[in-house]
Amino acid sequence: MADKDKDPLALWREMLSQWETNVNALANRTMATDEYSSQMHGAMGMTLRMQETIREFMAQYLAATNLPSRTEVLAIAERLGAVEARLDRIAALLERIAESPAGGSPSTSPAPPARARPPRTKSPPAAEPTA
Amino acid sequence: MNPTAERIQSEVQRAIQRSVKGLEYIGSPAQAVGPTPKDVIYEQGTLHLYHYHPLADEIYRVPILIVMATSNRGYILDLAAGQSFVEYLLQQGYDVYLIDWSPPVAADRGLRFEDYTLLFIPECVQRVRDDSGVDDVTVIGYCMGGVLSVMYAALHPHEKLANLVCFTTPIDFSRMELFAKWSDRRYFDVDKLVDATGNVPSEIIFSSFEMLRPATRIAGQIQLWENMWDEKFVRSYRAFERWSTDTLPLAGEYFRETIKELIWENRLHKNELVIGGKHVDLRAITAPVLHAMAEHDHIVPYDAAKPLIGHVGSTDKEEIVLKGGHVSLVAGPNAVKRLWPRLDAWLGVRSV
Repeated sequence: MADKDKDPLALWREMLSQWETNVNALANRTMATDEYSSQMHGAMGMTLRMQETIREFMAQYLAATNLPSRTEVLAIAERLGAVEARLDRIAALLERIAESPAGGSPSTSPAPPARARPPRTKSPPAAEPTA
Repeated sequence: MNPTAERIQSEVQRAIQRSVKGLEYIGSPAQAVGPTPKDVIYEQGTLHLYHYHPLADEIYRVPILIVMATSNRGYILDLAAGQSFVEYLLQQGYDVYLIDWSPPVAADRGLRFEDYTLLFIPECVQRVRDDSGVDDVTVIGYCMGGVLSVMYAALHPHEKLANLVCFTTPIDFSRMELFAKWSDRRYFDVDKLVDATGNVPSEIIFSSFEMLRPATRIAGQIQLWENMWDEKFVRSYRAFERWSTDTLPLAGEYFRETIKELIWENRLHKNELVIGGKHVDLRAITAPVLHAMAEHDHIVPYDAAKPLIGHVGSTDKEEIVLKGGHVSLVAGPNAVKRLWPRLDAWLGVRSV
Protein backbone atom coordinates (compact mmCIF):
# COMPACT_ATOMS: atom_id res chain seq x y z
CA MET A 1 0.00 0.00 0.00
CA ALA A 2 2.88 2.32 0.88
CA ASP A 3 4.41 1.68 -2.54
CA LYS A 4 1.09 2.40 -4.17
CA ASP A 5 0.83 5.70 -2.34
CA LYS A 6 4.27 6.70 -3.58
CA ASP A 7 3.61 5.65 -7.14
CA PRO A 8 2.26 8.64 -9.09
CA LEU A 9 1.04 6.33 -11.84
CA ALA A 10 -0.93 3.98 -9.60
CA LEU A 11 -4.10 6.03 -9.87
CA TRP A 12 -3.72 6.23 -13.62
CA ARG A 13 -3.31 2.43 -13.86
CA GLU A 14 -6.36 1.90 -11.73
CA MET A 15 -8.38 4.27 -13.92
CA LEU A 16 -7.20 2.49 -17.07
CA SER A 17 -8.15 -0.88 -15.66
CA GLN A 18 -11.56 0.43 -14.61
CA TRP A 19 -12.11 2.01 -18.03
CA GLU A 20 -11.22 -1.27 -19.75
CA THR A 21 -13.62 -3.25 -17.54
CA ASN A 22 -16.47 -0.78 -18.03
CA VAL A 23 -16.07 -0.46 -21.81
CA ASN A 24 -15.86 -4.24 -22.24
CA ALA A 25 -18.95 -4.76 -20.09
CA LEU A 26 -20.91 -2.07 -21.94
CA ALA A 27 -19.85 -3.43 -25.34
CA ASN A 28 -20.75 -6.99 -24.30
CA ARG A 29 -24.21 -5.85 -23.19
CA THR A 30 -24.75 -4.06 -26.49
CA MET A 31 -23.45 -6.96 -28.56
CA ALA A 32 -25.68 -9.44 -26.74
CA THR A 33 -28.83 -7.84 -28.14
CA ASP A 34 -30.91 -9.15 -31.04
CA GLU A 35 -30.59 -5.77 -32.76
CA TYR A 36 -26.81 -6.01 -32.79
CA SER A 37 -26.81 -9.57 -34.19
CA SER A 38 -29.36 -8.60 -36.82
CA GLN A 39 -27.39 -5.53 -37.92
CA MET A 40 -24.02 -7.30 -37.85
CA HIS A 41 -25.22 -10.15 -40.04
CA GLY A 42 -27.19 -7.77 -42.27
CA ALA A 43 -23.96 -5.88 -42.93
CA MET A 44 -22.06 -9.14 -43.46
CA GLY A 45 -24.69 -10.41 -45.91
CA MET A 46 -24.47 -7.17 -47.85
CA THR A 47 -20.67 -7.38 -47.99
CA LEU A 48 -20.84 -10.99 -49.19
CA ARG A 49 -23.36 -10.09 -51.90
CA MET A 50 -21.19 -7.17 -52.98
CA GLN A 51 -18.08 -9.36 -53.06
CA GLU A 52 -19.93 -11.97 -55.10
CA THR A 53 -21.04 -9.36 -57.66
CA ILE A 54 -17.54 -7.91 -57.91
CA ARG A 55 -16.04 -11.42 -58.16
CA GLU A 56 -18.35 -12.34 -61.04
CA PHE A 57 -17.66 -9.08 -62.82
CA MET A 58 -13.88 -9.39 -62.33
CA ALA A 59 -13.89 -13.03 -63.47
CA GLN A 60 -15.57 -12.00 -66.73
CA TYR A 61 -13.23 -9.04 -67.16
CA LEU A 62 -10.08 -11.07 -66.46
CA ALA A 63 -11.22 -13.87 -68.78
CA ALA A 64 -11.87 -11.29 -71.53
CA THR A 65 -8.42 -9.76 -71.05
CA ASN A 66 -6.76 -13.19 -70.82
CA LEU A 67 -5.48 -12.62 -67.27
CA PRO A 68 -5.56 -15.08 -64.33
CA SER A 69 -8.03 -14.52 -61.50
CA ARG A 70 -7.03 -14.42 -57.82
CA THR A 71 -8.39 -17.94 -57.35
CA GLU A 72 -6.20 -19.19 -60.18
CA VAL A 73 -3.13 -17.40 -58.81
CA LEU A 74 -3.82 -18.88 -55.37
CA ALA A 75 -4.18 -22.34 -56.88
CA ILE A 76 -0.78 -21.93 -58.58
CA ALA A 77 0.71 -20.65 -55.29
CA GLU A 78 -0.64 -23.72 -53.47
CA ARG A 79 0.86 -26.03 -56.05
CA LEU A 80 4.18 -24.16 -55.83
CA GLY A 81 4.03 -24.50 -52.05
CA ALA A 82 3.50 -28.25 -52.41
CA VAL A 83 6.43 -28.48 -54.86
CA GLU A 84 8.66 -26.51 -52.45
CA ALA A 85 7.64 -28.76 -49.53
CA ARG A 86 8.47 -31.81 -51.61
CA LEU A 87 11.83 -30.27 -52.59
CA ASP A 88 12.57 -29.59 -48.91
CA ARG A 89 11.87 -33.23 -48.09
CA ILE A 90 14.11 -34.38 -50.95
CA ALA A 91 16.88 -31.98 -49.82
CA ALA A 92 16.59 -33.28 -46.24
CA LEU A 93 16.76 -36.85 -47.50
CA LEU A 94 19.83 -36.07 -49.61
CA GLU A 95 21.51 -34.46 -46.60
CA ARG A 96 20.89 -37.60 -44.56
CA ILE A 97 22.27 -39.74 -47.39
CA ALA A 98 25.39 -37.55 -47.51
CA GLU A 99 25.78 -37.80 -43.73
CA SER A 100 25.31 -41.59 -43.62
CA PRO A 101 28.46 -43.69 -42.98
CA ALA A 102 30.52 -44.46 -46.11
CA GLY A 103 29.48 -47.73 -47.63
CA GLY A 104 26.37 -47.85 -45.49
CA SER A 105 22.97 -47.99 -47.09
CA PRO A 106 21.18 -44.80 -46.07
CA SER A 107 17.56 -45.02 -45.13
CA THR A 108 15.13 -43.64 -47.66
CA SER A 109 12.57 -42.98 -44.95
CA PRO A 110 11.48 -39.34 -44.69
CA ALA A 111 11.65 -39.60 -40.89
CA PRO A 112 14.14 -37.30 -39.13
CA PRO A 113 17.56 -38.69 -38.20
CA ALA A 114 17.52 -41.12 -35.31
CA ARG A 115 18.61 -39.38 -32.15
CA ALA A 116 19.75 -41.01 -28.94
CA ARG A 117 16.68 -41.05 -26.69
CA PRO A 118 16.82 -40.95 -22.91
CA PRO A 119 15.54 -44.08 -21.14
CA ARG A 120 11.80 -44.14 -20.33
CA THR A 121 12.39 -45.00 -16.71
CA LYS A 122 11.51 -41.79 -14.91
CA SER A 123 9.29 -41.99 -11.83
CA PRO A 124 7.39 -39.05 -10.38
CA PRO A 125 9.31 -37.33 -7.58
CA ALA A 126 6.97 -38.57 -4.83
CA ALA A 127 7.41 -42.18 -5.93
CA GLU A 128 11.22 -41.97 -6.05
CA PRO A 129 12.91 -43.90 -3.20
CA THR A 130 14.34 -41.66 -0.52
CA ALA A 131 17.92 -42.30 0.47
CA MET B 1 18.05 11.63 -1.99
CA ASN B 2 14.51 11.78 -0.60
CA PRO B 3 11.98 9.20 -1.88
CA THR B 4 9.95 11.70 -3.92
CA ALA B 5 13.04 12.99 -5.73
CA GLU B 6 14.17 9.40 -6.29
CA ARG B 7 10.77 8.53 -7.73
CA ILE B 8 10.79 11.57 -10.02
CA GLN B 9 14.30 10.69 -11.23
CA SER B 10 13.20 7.12 -11.89
CA GLU B 11 10.15 8.31 -13.86
CA VAL B 12 12.30 10.70 -15.93
CA GLN B 13 14.71 7.86 -16.74
CA ARG B 14 11.81 5.63 -17.71
CA ALA B 15 10.35 8.37 -19.92
CA ILE B 16 13.69 8.64 -21.75
CA GLN B 17 13.92 4.86 -22.07
CA ARG B 18 10.35 4.75 -23.42
CA SER B 19 11.25 7.17 -26.18
CA VAL B 20 14.49 5.39 -27.10
CA LYS B 21 13.04 1.88 -26.91
CA GLY B 22 9.80 3.01 -28.53
CA LEU B 23 11.76 3.92 -31.66
CA GLU B 24 13.61 0.59 -31.52
CA TYR B 25 10.26 -1.18 -31.11
CA ILE B 26 8.76 0.42 -34.21
CA GLY B 27 11.76 -0.49 -36.35
CA SER B 28 12.44 -3.97 -35.03
CA PRO B 29 11.39 -7.23 -36.71
CA ALA B 30 8.72 -9.56 -35.29
CA GLN B 31 9.53 -11.35 -32.05
CA ALA B 32 11.03 -14.80 -32.61
CA VAL B 33 8.85 -17.59 -31.18
CA GLY B 34 8.85 -21.39 -30.85
CA PRO B 35 12.53 -21.74 -29.84
CA THR B 36 12.47 -25.30 -28.43
CA PRO B 37 14.28 -27.66 -30.84
CA LYS B 38 11.97 -30.07 -32.64
CA ASP B 39 11.59 -32.35 -35.64
CA VAL B 40 8.61 -32.42 -37.94
CA ILE B 41 7.78 -36.12 -38.02
CA TYR B 42 4.59 -36.03 -40.06
CA GLU B 43 2.75 -33.59 -42.29
CA GLN B 44 -0.61 -33.90 -43.96
CA GLY B 45 -1.99 -30.75 -45.55
CA THR B 46 -2.88 -28.35 -42.76
CA LEU B 47 -1.51 -30.69 -40.06
CA HIS B 48 2.07 -30.74 -38.76
CA LEU B 49 3.22 -33.18 -36.10
CA TYR B 50 6.27 -32.09 -34.12
CA HIS B 51 8.47 -34.09 -31.81
CA TYR B 52 10.43 -31.95 -29.37
CA HIS B 53 13.94 -33.00 -28.43
CA PRO B 54 13.95 -34.34 -24.86
CA LEU B 55 15.69 -32.12 -22.31
CA ALA B 56 15.92 -34.60 -19.42
CA ASP B 57 18.35 -37.49 -18.97
CA GLU B 58 15.49 -39.79 -18.04
CA ILE B 59 11.91 -39.48 -19.30
CA TYR B 60 8.49 -40.82 -18.34
CA ARG B 61 7.40 -43.95 -20.18
CA VAL B 62 4.18 -42.45 -21.58
CA PRO B 63 4.58 -39.81 -24.32
CA ILE B 64 2.33 -36.75 -24.59
CA LEU B 65 0.53 -35.64 -27.73
CA ILE B 66 -0.71 -32.03 -27.57
CA VAL B 67 -3.56 -31.07 -29.91
CA MET B 68 -3.53 -27.34 -30.59
CA ALA B 69 -6.70 -25.32 -31.17
CA THR B 70 -7.53 -25.10 -34.88
CA SER B 71 -7.94 -21.32 -34.82
CA ASN B 72 -4.48 -20.47 -33.50
CA ARG B 73 -0.80 -21.30 -33.91
CA GLY B 74 0.84 -23.80 -31.60
CA TYR B 75 3.72 -21.52 -30.67
CA ILE B 76 1.62 -20.04 -27.84
CA LEU B 77 2.74 -23.17 -25.99
CA ASP B 78 6.39 -22.46 -26.85
CA LEU B 79 6.64 -18.67 -26.84
CA ALA B 80 10.18 -18.14 -25.56
CA ALA B 81 12.78 -19.85 -23.41
CA GLY B 82 11.53 -19.73 -19.81
CA GLN B 83 8.01 -18.95 -21.04
CA SER B 84 7.27 -22.21 -22.77
CA PHE B 85 4.83 -24.91 -21.67
CA VAL B 86 6.55 -27.38 -23.97
CA GLU B 87 9.98 -26.57 -22.53
CA TYR B 88 8.58 -26.97 -19.00
CA LEU B 89 7.17 -30.42 -19.82
CA LEU B 90 10.47 -31.48 -21.38
CA GLN B 91 12.40 -30.29 -18.34
CA GLN B 92 10.08 -32.29 -16.06
CA GLY B 93 10.93 -35.41 -18.08
CA TYR B 94 8.05 -35.80 -20.53
CA ASP B 95 8.39 -36.85 -24.15
CA VAL B 96 6.38 -34.24 -26.05
CA TYR B 97 4.69 -34.30 -29.46
CA LEU B 98 2.43 -31.52 -30.75
CA ILE B 99 -0.13 -31.24 -33.53
CA ASP B 100 0.05 -27.75 -35.01
CA TRP B 101 -2.13 -26.38 -37.80
CA SER B 102 -1.23 -24.19 -40.73
CA PRO B 103 -3.81 -22.15 -42.68
CA PRO B 104 -6.09 -24.47 -44.66
CA VAL B 105 -5.77 -23.94 -48.42
CA ALA B 106 -8.63 -24.02 -50.93
CA ALA B 107 -8.34 -27.81 -51.25
CA ASP B 108 -8.94 -28.14 -47.47
CA ARG B 109 -12.31 -26.39 -47.49
CA GLY B 110 -14.12 -29.73 -47.29
CA LEU B 111 -12.39 -30.86 -44.05
CA ARG B 112 -14.95 -31.94 -41.47
CA PHE B 113 -14.95 -33.16 -37.87
CA GLU B 114 -14.48 -36.68 -39.18
CA ASP B 115 -11.21 -35.73 -40.88
CA TYR B 116 -9.84 -34.35 -37.64
CA THR B 117 -11.14 -37.03 -35.28
CA LEU B 118 -11.17 -40.19 -37.42
CA LEU B 119 -8.11 -39.50 -39.58
CA PHE B 120 -5.75 -36.76 -38.38
CA ILE B 121 -5.58 -37.43 -34.64
CA PRO B 122 -5.60 -41.26 -34.93
CA GLU B 123 -2.83 -41.06 -37.54
CA CYS B 124 -0.78 -38.82 -35.25
CA VAL B 125 -1.36 -41.08 -32.25
CA GLN B 126 -0.09 -43.98 -34.36
CA ARG B 127 2.96 -41.94 -35.44
CA VAL B 128 3.69 -41.14 -31.80
CA ARG B 129 3.42 -44.84 -30.96
CA ASP B 130 5.75 -45.79 -33.78
CA ASP B 131 8.23 -43.05 -32.95
CA SER B 132 8.26 -43.61 -29.19
CA GLY B 133 7.80 -47.37 -29.18
CA VAL B 134 5.08 -46.97 -26.54
CA ASP B 135 1.46 -48.02 -27.11
CA ASP B 136 -0.38 -45.79 -24.66
CA VAL B 137 -0.30 -42.05 -25.20
CA THR B 138 -1.50 -39.08 -23.15
CA VAL B 139 -3.51 -36.60 -25.23
CA ILE B 140 -3.67 -32.95 -24.16
CA GLY B 141 -6.08 -30.65 -26.01
CA TYR B 142 -6.35 -26.89 -25.76
CA CYS B 143 -9.71 -25.17 -26.42
CA MET B 144 -11.06 -26.54 -29.75
CA GLY B 145 -8.06 -28.88 -29.71
CA GLY B 146 -9.63 -30.17 -26.50
CA VAL B 147 -13.00 -30.59 -28.20
CA LEU B 148 -11.37 -32.59 -30.99
CA SER B 149 -9.43 -34.66 -28.43
CA VAL B 150 -12.62 -35.43 -26.52
CA MET B 151 -14.34 -36.47 -29.76
CA TYR B 152 -11.35 -38.63 -30.68
CA ALA B 153 -11.29 -40.30 -27.24
CA ALA B 154 -15.05 -41.00 -27.36
CA LEU B 155 -14.82 -42.40 -30.89
CA HIS B 156 -11.89 -44.71 -30.09
CA PRO B 157 -12.77 -46.34 -26.76
CA HIS B 158 -10.59 -49.35 -27.48
CA GLU B 159 -7.44 -47.39 -28.24
CA LYS B 160 -4.86 -47.28 -25.48
CA LEU B 161 -5.37 -43.74 -24.25
CA ALA B 162 -3.22 -43.30 -21.14
CA ASN B 163 -4.71 -39.97 -20.03
CA LEU B 164 -6.86 -37.22 -21.45
CA VAL B 165 -6.07 -33.66 -20.38
CA CYS B 166 -8.22 -30.76 -21.55
CA PHE B 167 -7.55 -27.08 -21.14
CA THR B 168 -10.55 -24.72 -21.32
CA THR B 169 -12.58 -27.10 -23.46
CA PRO B 170 -16.17 -26.08 -24.21
CA ILE B 171 -18.85 -28.77 -24.05
CA ASP B 172 -22.08 -26.85 -23.44
CA PHE B 173 -21.92 -24.34 -26.28
CA SER B 174 -25.16 -22.66 -25.22
CA ARG B 175 -23.18 -21.21 -22.30
CA MET B 176 -20.74 -19.43 -24.62
CA GLU B 177 -23.32 -16.73 -24.62
CA LEU B 178 -21.86 -14.07 -26.88
CA PHE B 179 -20.75 -16.57 -29.52
CA ALA B 180 -24.19 -18.20 -29.34
CA LYS B 181 -25.83 -14.80 -29.75
CA TRP B 182 -23.63 -13.78 -32.67
CA SER B 183 -24.32 -17.01 -34.47
CA ASP B 184 -28.08 -16.85 -33.84
CA ARG B 185 -29.61 -18.84 -36.69
CA ARG B 186 -32.31 -16.19 -37.19
CA TYR B 187 -29.66 -13.75 -38.41
CA PHE B 188 -26.51 -15.71 -39.23
CA ASP B 189 -26.56 -17.47 -42.60
CA VAL B 190 -23.56 -19.76 -42.11
CA ASP B 191 -24.20 -21.50 -45.43
CA LYS B 192 -23.98 -18.23 -47.31
CA LEU B 193 -20.73 -17.33 -45.55
CA VAL B 194 -19.05 -20.70 -46.14
CA ASP B 195 -20.33 -21.02 -49.71
CA ALA B 196 -19.02 -17.55 -50.51
CA THR B 197 -15.64 -17.74 -48.78
CA GLY B 198 -14.67 -21.43 -48.93
CA ASN B 199 -12.45 -21.32 -45.89
CA VAL B 200 -13.60 -18.78 -43.32
CA PRO B 201 -11.03 -15.95 -43.39
CA SER B 202 -8.80 -15.41 -40.38
CA GLU B 203 -10.03 -11.79 -40.16
CA ILE B 204 -13.49 -13.03 -39.21
CA ILE B 205 -12.08 -15.41 -36.59
CA PHE B 206 -9.77 -12.69 -35.22
CA SER B 207 -12.61 -10.13 -35.07
CA SER B 208 -14.92 -12.49 -33.23
CA PHE B 209 -12.28 -12.98 -30.51
CA GLU B 210 -11.47 -9.25 -30.40
CA MET B 211 -15.11 -8.26 -30.12
CA LEU B 212 -15.40 -10.16 -26.84
CA ARG B 213 -13.07 -7.61 -25.23
CA PRO B 214 -13.05 -4.55 -27.49
CA ALA B 215 -11.23 -2.24 -25.05
CA THR B 216 -8.49 -4.68 -24.13
CA ARG B 217 -6.28 -4.06 -27.15
CA ILE B 218 -6.27 -0.28 -26.57
CA ALA B 219 -5.58 -0.75 -22.86
CA GLY B 220 -2.80 -3.21 -23.74
CA GLN B 221 -1.13 -0.70 -26.04
CA ILE B 222 -1.23 1.96 -23.34
CA GLN B 223 0.31 -0.55 -20.91
CA LEU B 224 2.98 -1.35 -23.48
CA TRP B 225 3.92 2.32 -23.77
CA GLU B 226 4.03 2.67 -20.01
CA ASN B 227 6.32 -0.37 -19.72
CA MET B 228 8.40 0.35 -22.80
CA TRP B 229 11.48 0.78 -20.55
CA ASP B 230 11.13 -2.84 -19.36
CA GLU B 231 12.64 -5.19 -21.95
CA LYS B 232 11.19 -8.31 -20.37
CA PHE B 233 7.66 -6.87 -20.48
CA VAL B 234 8.10 -5.71 -24.08
CA ARG B 235 9.43 -9.10 -25.22
CA SER B 236 6.54 -10.90 -23.58
CA TYR B 237 3.97 -8.40 -24.91
CA ARG B 238 5.29 -8.70 -28.45
CA ALA B 239 5.26 -12.48 -28.42
CA PHE B 240 1.63 -12.54 -27.17
CA GLU B 241 0.66 -9.77 -29.57
CA ARG B 242 2.17 -11.64 -32.49
CA TRP B 243 0.33 -14.80 -31.53
CA SER B 244 -3.06 -13.19 -30.90
CA THR B 245 -3.07 -11.51 -34.32
CA ASP B 246 -1.78 -14.66 -36.03
CA THR B 247 -5.23 -16.24 -36.16
CA LEU B 248 -5.84 -19.05 -38.65
CA PRO B 249 -8.65 -19.32 -41.19
CA LEU B 250 -10.94 -22.27 -40.57
CA ALA B 251 -11.80 -24.94 -43.10
CA GLY B 252 -15.27 -24.12 -44.44
CA GLU B 253 -17.09 -27.37 -43.68
CA TYR B 254 -15.45 -27.63 -40.26
CA PHE B 255 -16.71 -24.12 -39.47
CA ARG B 256 -20.20 -24.98 -40.77
CA GLU B 257 -20.30 -28.09 -38.55
CA THR B 258 -19.06 -26.14 -35.52
CA ILE B 259 -21.85 -23.60 -35.94
CA LYS B 260 -24.64 -26.05 -36.76
CA GLU B 261 -23.77 -29.12 -34.70
CA LEU B 262 -22.08 -27.57 -31.69
CA ILE B 263 -23.46 -24.05 -31.32
CA TRP B 264 -26.95 -24.30 -32.81
CA GLU B 265 -27.85 -27.85 -31.81
CA ASN B 266 -25.41 -28.24 -28.87
CA ARG B 267 -25.14 -31.92 -29.81
CA LEU B 268 -21.89 -32.68 -27.94
CA HIS B 269 -23.49 -31.63 -24.66
CA LYS B 270 -26.79 -33.37 -25.47
CA ASN B 271 -24.97 -36.62 -26.32
CA GLU B 272 -26.44 -36.52 -29.84
CA LEU B 273 -23.34 -35.83 -31.94
CA VAL B 274 -22.64 -38.23 -34.79
CA ILE B 275 -19.35 -38.07 -36.68
CA GLY B 276 -18.71 -40.23 -39.73
CA GLY B 277 -21.75 -42.32 -38.81
CA LYS B 278 -20.45 -42.94 -35.26
CA HIS B 279 -22.09 -41.67 -32.09
CA VAL B 280 -19.81 -39.47 -29.99
CA ASP B 281 -20.73 -40.73 -26.53
CA LEU B 282 -18.52 -39.12 -23.90
CA ARG B 283 -19.41 -41.92 -21.47
CA ALA B 284 -17.18 -44.16 -23.62
CA ILE B 285 -14.14 -42.23 -22.32
CA THR B 286 -12.70 -44.25 -19.44
CA ALA B 287 -9.09 -43.04 -19.32
CA PRO B 288 -8.09 -40.71 -16.46
CA VAL B 289 -9.26 -37.17 -17.29
CA LEU B 290 -8.05 -33.81 -16.04
CA HIS B 291 -9.86 -30.64 -17.10
CA ALA B 292 -8.22 -27.29 -16.32
CA MET B 293 -10.33 -24.15 -16.62
CA ALA B 294 -9.72 -20.47 -16.01
CA GLU B 295 -11.69 -18.35 -13.57
CA HIS B 296 -11.79 -15.34 -15.89
CA ASP B 297 -12.03 -17.06 -19.25
CA HIS B 298 -13.95 -14.69 -21.55
CA ILE B 299 -13.83 -17.09 -24.52
CA VAL B 300 -14.83 -20.37 -22.86
CA PRO B 301 -16.66 -19.44 -19.63
CA TYR B 302 -16.60 -21.94 -16.77
CA ASP B 303 -20.26 -22.89 -17.33
CA ALA B 304 -19.50 -23.91 -20.92
CA ALA B 305 -16.53 -26.09 -19.91
CA LYS B 306 -17.83 -27.53 -16.61
CA PRO B 307 -19.98 -30.40 -18.00
CA LEU B 308 -17.01 -32.38 -19.37
CA ILE B 309 -16.13 -34.10 -16.12
CA GLY B 310 -19.77 -35.04 -15.51
CA HIS B 311 -20.15 -36.51 -18.99
CA VAL B 312 -17.07 -38.74 -19.25
CA GLY B 313 -17.26 -42.34 -18.07
CA SER B 314 -13.89 -42.27 -16.30
CA THR B 315 -13.70 -42.99 -12.60
CA ASP B 316 -10.36 -41.22 -12.26
CA LYS B 317 -11.31 -37.65 -13.20
CA GLU B 318 -10.67 -34.20 -11.85
CA GLU B 319 -11.37 -30.60 -12.72
CA ILE B 320 -9.36 -27.63 -11.59
CA VAL B 321 -10.28 -23.97 -11.86
CA LEU B 322 -7.34 -21.61 -11.66
CA LYS B 323 -6.98 -17.85 -11.66
CA GLY B 324 -6.36 -16.40 -15.09
CA GLY B 325 -7.90 -16.08 -18.51
CA HIS B 326 -8.24 -18.26 -21.58
CA VAL B 327 -4.63 -17.75 -22.68
CA SER B 328 -2.89 -16.84 -19.42
CA LEU B 329 -4.04 -20.19 -18.02
CA VAL B 330 -1.70 -22.08 -20.36
CA ALA B 331 0.95 -19.51 -21.27
CA GLY B 332 2.65 -16.62 -19.55
CA PRO B 333 4.26 -15.88 -16.21
CA ASN B 334 1.30 -17.03 -14.10
CA ALA B 335 0.94 -20.37 -15.87
CA VAL B 336 4.48 -21.22 -14.72
CA LYS B 337 3.32 -20.91 -11.11
CA ARG B 338 -0.26 -22.20 -11.43
CA LEU B 339 -1.23 -24.65 -14.14
CA TRP B 340 2.06 -26.23 -15.12
CA PRO B 341 3.06 -27.58 -11.68
CA ARG B 342 -0.52 -28.76 -11.05
CA LEU B 343 -0.50 -30.63 -14.35
CA ASP B 344 2.92 -32.11 -13.63
CA ALA B 345 1.77 -33.35 -10.22
CA TRP B 346 -1.34 -34.97 -11.76
CA LEU B 347 0.30 -36.35 -14.88
CA GLY B 348 3.63 -37.59 -13.50
CA VAL B 349 2.10 -40.38 -11.44
CA ARG B 350 -0.03 -41.40 -14.44
CA SER B 351 2.84 -41.47 -16.93
CA VAL B 352 4.89 -44.39 -15.67
